[in-house]
Amino acid sequence: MFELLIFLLIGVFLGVLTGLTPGIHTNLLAVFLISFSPFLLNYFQPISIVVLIVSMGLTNTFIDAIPSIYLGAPDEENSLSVLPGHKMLMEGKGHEAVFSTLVGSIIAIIIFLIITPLLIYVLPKIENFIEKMMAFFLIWAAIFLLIKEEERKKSFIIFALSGVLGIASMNLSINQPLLPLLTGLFGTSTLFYSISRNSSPPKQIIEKNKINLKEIKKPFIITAIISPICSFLPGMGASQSAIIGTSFLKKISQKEFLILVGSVNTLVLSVSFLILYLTNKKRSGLANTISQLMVLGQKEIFYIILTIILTTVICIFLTIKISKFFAKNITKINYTKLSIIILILLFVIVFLISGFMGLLVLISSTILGLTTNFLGVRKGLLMGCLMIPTIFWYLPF
Amino acid sequence: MKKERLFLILSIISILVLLLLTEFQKPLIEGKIKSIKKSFPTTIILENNNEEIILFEKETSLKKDNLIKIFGSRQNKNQIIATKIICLNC
Repeated sequence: MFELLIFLLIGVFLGVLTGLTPGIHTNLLAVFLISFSPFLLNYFQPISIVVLIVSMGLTNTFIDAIPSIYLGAPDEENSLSVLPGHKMLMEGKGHEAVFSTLVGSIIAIIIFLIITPLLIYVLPKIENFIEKMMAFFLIWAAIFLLIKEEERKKSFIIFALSGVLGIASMNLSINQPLLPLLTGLFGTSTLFYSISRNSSPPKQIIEKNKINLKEIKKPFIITAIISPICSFLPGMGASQSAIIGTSFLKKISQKEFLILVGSVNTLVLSVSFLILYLTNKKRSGLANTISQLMVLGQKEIFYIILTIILTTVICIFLTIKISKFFAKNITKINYTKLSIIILILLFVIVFLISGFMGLLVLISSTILGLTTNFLGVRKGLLMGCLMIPTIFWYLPF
Repeated sequence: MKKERLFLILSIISILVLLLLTEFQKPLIEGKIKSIKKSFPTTIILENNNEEIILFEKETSLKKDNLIKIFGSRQNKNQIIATKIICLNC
């Protein structure tokens, strides 16, 4: 038991590291762990490494909101193309934005504990039906998403182009094509845009945050319905699930959106471990890594659920502490210089993992991301890069 | 030219370049099929490689011992998502 606790804490530490470093994903560390597993398994039980992987992945879903909110924010001029977290940062509410995603992650764990018995019973029975209907579900969501837009023509062009870009990237023989694709569309393009506007965030307000029950209601319901369904499907990330989730709502506030992103992010990962146990399907990179270490039984899934609960408790305090640190110091640093350093880091990481072709994908996706900023349409539409290829995968003809 | 139009044209050109590159790329891996599990998605294991090859098709005429060339992307150390498979002896 002591060994498990130590591995849990190491996992939390690695999760903080991957969460705070833009471009370094937990999947990357999991691949390293698998490479070292023959050595590690000589000294430790496989379940210890599984606990490490679960706590690392979960911590990452709590912490990764911090760099994505505090770094790379453009100014407010082009509000539609600015992500909600960045909008709040420019209003001095960066900490409140992180707090909202934290509330989302906590909600996700509560939902996870509530729906686990239900999923154990229902999941194996409806698995085939969901997969058969998925293409139609996605087509409907895409139409719904586009109809909601004010600038429909521009939105359609961006959505379609991102879809073609997604298909092209996945057809190139490169390692982890999603890394350059998503980094370019949402990361580097935002950083370039921010540098071009020479913007820096204002002094941040750090006060006791309050979330009322009304703000939790919509994200709670959407997360509980969408996340288990989206957890089934390869290529469906948390943001994509959140975008689909918001398409069901007429109006959603910035805070509600952030709660939703936080909750979907955490729940999709947690459910992927349960799906591995129930159906032996690997719906996340980390679930795939675990499947290579051991076959999950009742005892192991119990340890995983326990790890999820303990990690959540630790992460609540960690997220608040780290976010407050960022909020206090964000105005003291040279924001443009920091953005340039992160840009260089992202380009190096993409080159090391996906090679020269990965860099080409990164450049293309960065240009498309910037186009979205200049056209003034919602950046969420760029998720067409995953939605359109997924629709093609799941079409029955 | 307006900045937004310029970037839109650049986006289209860069995506076209990527599409063109997909036509000239080499297969990721090739070999004889050791085992094939036809469900959704279809999972293939080759004789010369332990990686799991995922194909998002249920209906496929591929069978054991077929010699195939696989195009696609490596998701991680043990999994390849195949976007195109050419059979050399079907």
